[in-house]
Order: sequence, then C-alpha cells, then structure tokens
Amino acid sequence: MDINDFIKNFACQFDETPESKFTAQTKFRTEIEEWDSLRALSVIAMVDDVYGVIIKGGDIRNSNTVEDLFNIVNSRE
Amino acid sequence: MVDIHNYEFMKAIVQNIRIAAVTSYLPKRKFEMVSLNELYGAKEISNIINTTGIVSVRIADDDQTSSDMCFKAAQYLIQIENIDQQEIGGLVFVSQTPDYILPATSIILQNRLGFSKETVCIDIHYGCSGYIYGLFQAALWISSGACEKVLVLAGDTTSKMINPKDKSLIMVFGDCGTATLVSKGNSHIGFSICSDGSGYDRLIIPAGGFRIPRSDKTKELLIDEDNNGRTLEDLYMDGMSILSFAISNVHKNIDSLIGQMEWNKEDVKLYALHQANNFMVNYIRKKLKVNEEKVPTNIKNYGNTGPASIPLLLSDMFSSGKADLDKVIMSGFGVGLSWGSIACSLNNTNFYEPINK
Repeated sequence: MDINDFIKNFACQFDETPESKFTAQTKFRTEIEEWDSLRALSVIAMVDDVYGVIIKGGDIRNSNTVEDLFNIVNSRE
Repeated sequence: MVDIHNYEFMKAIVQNIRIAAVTSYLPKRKFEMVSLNELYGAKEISNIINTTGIVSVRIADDDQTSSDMCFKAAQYLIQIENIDQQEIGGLVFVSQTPDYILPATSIILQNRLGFSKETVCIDIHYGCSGYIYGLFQAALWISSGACEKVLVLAGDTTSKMINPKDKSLIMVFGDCGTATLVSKGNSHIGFSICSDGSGYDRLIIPAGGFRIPRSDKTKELLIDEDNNGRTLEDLYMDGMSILSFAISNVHKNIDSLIGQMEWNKEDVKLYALHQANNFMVNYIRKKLKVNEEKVPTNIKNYGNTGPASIPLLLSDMFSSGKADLDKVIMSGFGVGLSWGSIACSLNNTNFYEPINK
C-alpha cells in the first residue's frame, strides 16, 4: 500500500478542498474545513472500495492525521 | 414443519405461508429539508440532501402515535381485503414508540380493531430491522397451527425521539405506520437473522429506561463536534459506525440466505432493502453486485421510516400489481445492532397505495 496513493484517494472525497492541501501530516478532522460526518462516510466507503478494509467510526475518531488512518488501513489490508 | 438449521447464521425456512396484503399510512404533515436553509445555510443543507437523497419527510401530529397510524393502515386493510376480524388469530406490533411503558400496545390494538379475545398479541421492540422480526413471528405462529391469519403492524414516530437541534437526525427520519396480513398459503419463506449487541450504544436513547432513569442531568443539552445538540433522553446515532456495520454484514446475510434457498442470484426480481438513506442503500447494492432496477428506493419523500420502511416501499412501488415478484429478498438492519433478511414470493400479495401518498 502506497501512502501517496492513499492521500490522493482520500483527497478525492472532497469537493472543494484542493488535493494539494492534503499531505501525510494533514490533521484532517481539524485542519480541513470541509471535513464533516458526510465526508467521513465517503472515506469509509472509499477505503472499502479501494483497499477492501472496512474501518469503523472509532478508527476515524482515533486518527489525527491522514497517515494515522493510512497506518490503520495498512495494518489490516 | 419448521426446519431450523444452525450454521453460521440463524436461518429457517417456514413452509405454507402467504404474505397476503400490505398497506401503509403516511401522516399528512410534511417537513421539507429546505426549510432549514436559513438556520444552517442553503449549501450545507443541499450537500446533506445530495448524500441522503431525502428531500422531505412526513411527521406525525403531536397527538398521533405509531399505533394510531398503524390502526388506520390496519382498518383500511381489513376493509379493502374484506377480512372478518374474528379470523385474525395473532397481532404483532413492531415499534420503538409504543403508546405506554406498559401494557403492550398490541393488546390495545386488539381491542381497538375489534379482534377476538382469543388473539395472541405481542410487541416487538425493534426499529429498522423490525419488519423482518414481525414477519418471522407471524410465520412461526401460522406454521405452528396457533393462527391462520396474523396481522403485523410496523410503525414508528421517530420524529418524537429526536432533538430539534440535531440536524443529523431530523434530516433523515420520518414517521409512518403499516399493516401486513400474513396467512396460510402455498409458498415458503426463508429467514436469516443476526445480532451484535456489542454495538448497542451506536443507535440508542440512553436515558429514560431503568439503566439511566430520567433526571435533571439527562435533560442537559449537549453539543457534539458536528454542532448537533441532543440530551441523553434523545435519539443518538453514530452514522459512521452504522455505515461500517451495514456494509460489512448486510450483503453477506443476503447472499447466504440466497444460498440457503438454493436460488440463483440472477433470478431474484427484487431486493426490498430497509430505506436508511440513498448513500447506504446504494452502497449495499454495490456490495450485492446487482442492478439499480432491482433495488428500488423511495427515500426522497419519506426518509428513513424505521420498521415501516420496507412495507412502505412495497405498498408505494407495487400497488399497480404488474411486477413479477416471484423471488424477493427483503432486508432490514439497524438498532441492536441487528440485521436480518427474508426470501419469499410476493406474487400472491396485494399491495395498496399508501394512504395520504
């Protein structure tokens, strides 16, 4: 699993925030204004679609950065 | 006649059952999501509508209960199907919004509907998966010989459990009451029901039962990170966890039931899924790998009506009576957490357009 692909896929779930705003260190829940519970649902669906891993609400709530979430998905893939 | 196998899921095939007729009652009051534009901003509201697919919902009157709506659906069904009330041997009321803490609402409905004193009545306290449990109970009573005809009344006034400051819920849930007649017949119905109590607090009203009695503290308004307000006496839903749960389990439950029935998946004419919201129904459809035409939705105008959503969908979409519904899957999922599916034929079922459609 490649972190840059993951960041790209993560960024695709947002309509208004440009891809360039996302890095491994982006604290998505606090730094991205567009982040809300609807984005969370599309991230869960994307991770299932692309990586075949179903993450839970707690996984997202326990992740600060995009990399944190990547690590969770990577460990279960 | 009941044949229960215990493999990885609770499964049963019950013989000689007919789902005979389905009616539903929609309350007249309409709540349009765009009415929230001023409060939350038009863009935010339209983003939510685009995801949920819910444009408006119906809301019960202040003094109208779930049993009132189910009563109207039942009365209409009895009249239009020309049923002798004395023939009804069982009454199942599926709801999380009963009239009283006790007695059971089904008993009150037995009297209101003029059913015999020899009617067996039971309340089933489930939400979005509840219709499956209601039909399971009805089929078992008929199969055991205890009843010839059973009325399953499923409905909720979820709107009355939601804090008006919680837009994550007021934009999703609507009210409805339904009635389904189950009788002896020629076809068999497969059931598969599962439970995972570890998720009990993901969809919950924490206070007001006996674990956390109501107090001044349970009336305090709490604001969450999405700016939704609710007290411990209001409905709480963790949408992320419910989505993870549903997309992990529902398609597997359905596929295993289709296997148990020895059906070919291509032969299934209709998947009547619980109408949670468009995002979830479409995603489950993708996991099932079936065409959109086989998975109809009517979420747009009614929202998530809990235990009423499957019978409401059926009465709304199939009252013209032209569809071939020889092999049908119904599936409910939600509170508990619980999920279950039914495999049956609905070719011998009469559907009537919802009252107040």
